[in-house]
Amino acid sequence: MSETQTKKKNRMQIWLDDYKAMNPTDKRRAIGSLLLNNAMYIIILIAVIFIGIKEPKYFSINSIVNIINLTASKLPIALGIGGCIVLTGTDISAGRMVGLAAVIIASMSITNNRIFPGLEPLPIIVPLLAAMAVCGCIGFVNGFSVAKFKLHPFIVTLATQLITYGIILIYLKLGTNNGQTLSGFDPTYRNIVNGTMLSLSATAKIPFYVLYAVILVIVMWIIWNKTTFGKNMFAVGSNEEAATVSGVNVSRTIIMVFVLAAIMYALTGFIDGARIASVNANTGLNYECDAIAACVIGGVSFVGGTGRISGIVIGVLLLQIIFTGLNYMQVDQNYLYIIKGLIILVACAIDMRKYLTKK
Amino acid sequence: MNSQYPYTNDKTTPQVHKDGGLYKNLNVPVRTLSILIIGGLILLVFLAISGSQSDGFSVRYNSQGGSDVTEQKYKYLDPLSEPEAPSREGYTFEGWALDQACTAPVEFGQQVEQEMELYACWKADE
Repeated sequence: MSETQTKKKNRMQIWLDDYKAMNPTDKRRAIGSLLLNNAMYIIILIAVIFIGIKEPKYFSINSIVNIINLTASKLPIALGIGGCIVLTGTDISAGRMVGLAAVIIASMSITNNRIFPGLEPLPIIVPLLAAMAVCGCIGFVNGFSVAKFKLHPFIVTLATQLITYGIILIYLKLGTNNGQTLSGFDPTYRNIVNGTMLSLSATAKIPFYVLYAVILVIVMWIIWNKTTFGKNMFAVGSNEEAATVSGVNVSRTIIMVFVLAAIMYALTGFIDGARIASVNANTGLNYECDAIAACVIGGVSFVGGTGRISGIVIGVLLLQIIFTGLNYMQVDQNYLYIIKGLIILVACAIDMRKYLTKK
Repeated sequence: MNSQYPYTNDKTTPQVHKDGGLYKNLNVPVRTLSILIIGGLILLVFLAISGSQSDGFSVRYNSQGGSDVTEQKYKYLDPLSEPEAPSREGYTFEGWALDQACTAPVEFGQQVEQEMELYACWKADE
């Protein structure tokens, strides 16, 4: 933590030193550039202050705890997709995989089971491992197609997104369930995920999944920064040809990134099932949009080979802060889709601008 | 692991030339992008303001053949309260559910986070 702080300070100092040495025209240009590169953060800050003044409840403990909880629930999927973006790809099958994991876990841990009639809730580790294995297989298909057939990740994951959705629908029709919503979860499963870890007031409760999200962040930080696999990932993302020349096994790295991402989606499904307490074919729908937006806001660049875990955490948090704020402002749900799409586009434009000015 | 390793996301060590990834063949003036960014942000603010006219999230009640229950408006994170029970000839009201087949009963007191539609559950009188 202290290391990154000194690094940040250094970068600020370098900028200030450069700035002092400039002539007035360049100074104006440098300020403009700084404002534009951080435009998203500035607009979010202004929005937060504005909403806070209009709706003082927005700054209440209840609301802050709600933001933290939502951030924790969306973190694993963003951590997974971050790796795919570092490879200059993406993964649009993520949301459906979250849904599939949630459905598989639910089918083995509900009390009145209609999918497998007569099945009592299994120890939670069994359905969790099953979901991770199934998602891992789909992730393998994604990674294998990208690595071996050189297909663009957008196309491959678009295909697996549809396939996964089909599997969810068929799975929900098994037994006597007939596609209905799954609910009535085993209390042990719900308590493990959604049980109160810390109670700040009657409604402001921090559940256990916040702890799991923190653990996942630490694990992913170690994988990205301290392992050969992590460094290979950045190498392949930066320049695939150069990585091949240096002896990196590019195919294996790409496949591993997609499988790791898929395992993260399974964990998101594990958390989401217990958090929402009912699972159907629409669980996880469009989650990938939020995750991709969070990554791009957090500085994981489509240039490839650029990104930090801390950036992803900040991205997810900022997105949750702004969307909770918009909810407090009673912004129509339909407008929120347009706003999300625009945020992705603007974040990409900022990302491009940074790339062009650095080049 | 290996300190001689040329690739890392650490900004302090030398990096290899990046091939540009998705922006490999990007050929746009920086000025155009700046205008797009500013335009996009203005549009975002406009959408947020014009979208926030509604007076809350509506919770609709589908009585599934019973007497009508008027919809209610909730502010974000307000606790959900139970409405008046509907009535239906020849049936007994059993409660509200999140789905039409009555498999997911509603937990009243939960915080409203989005628009909802609740379904009435009925049991035929013998």
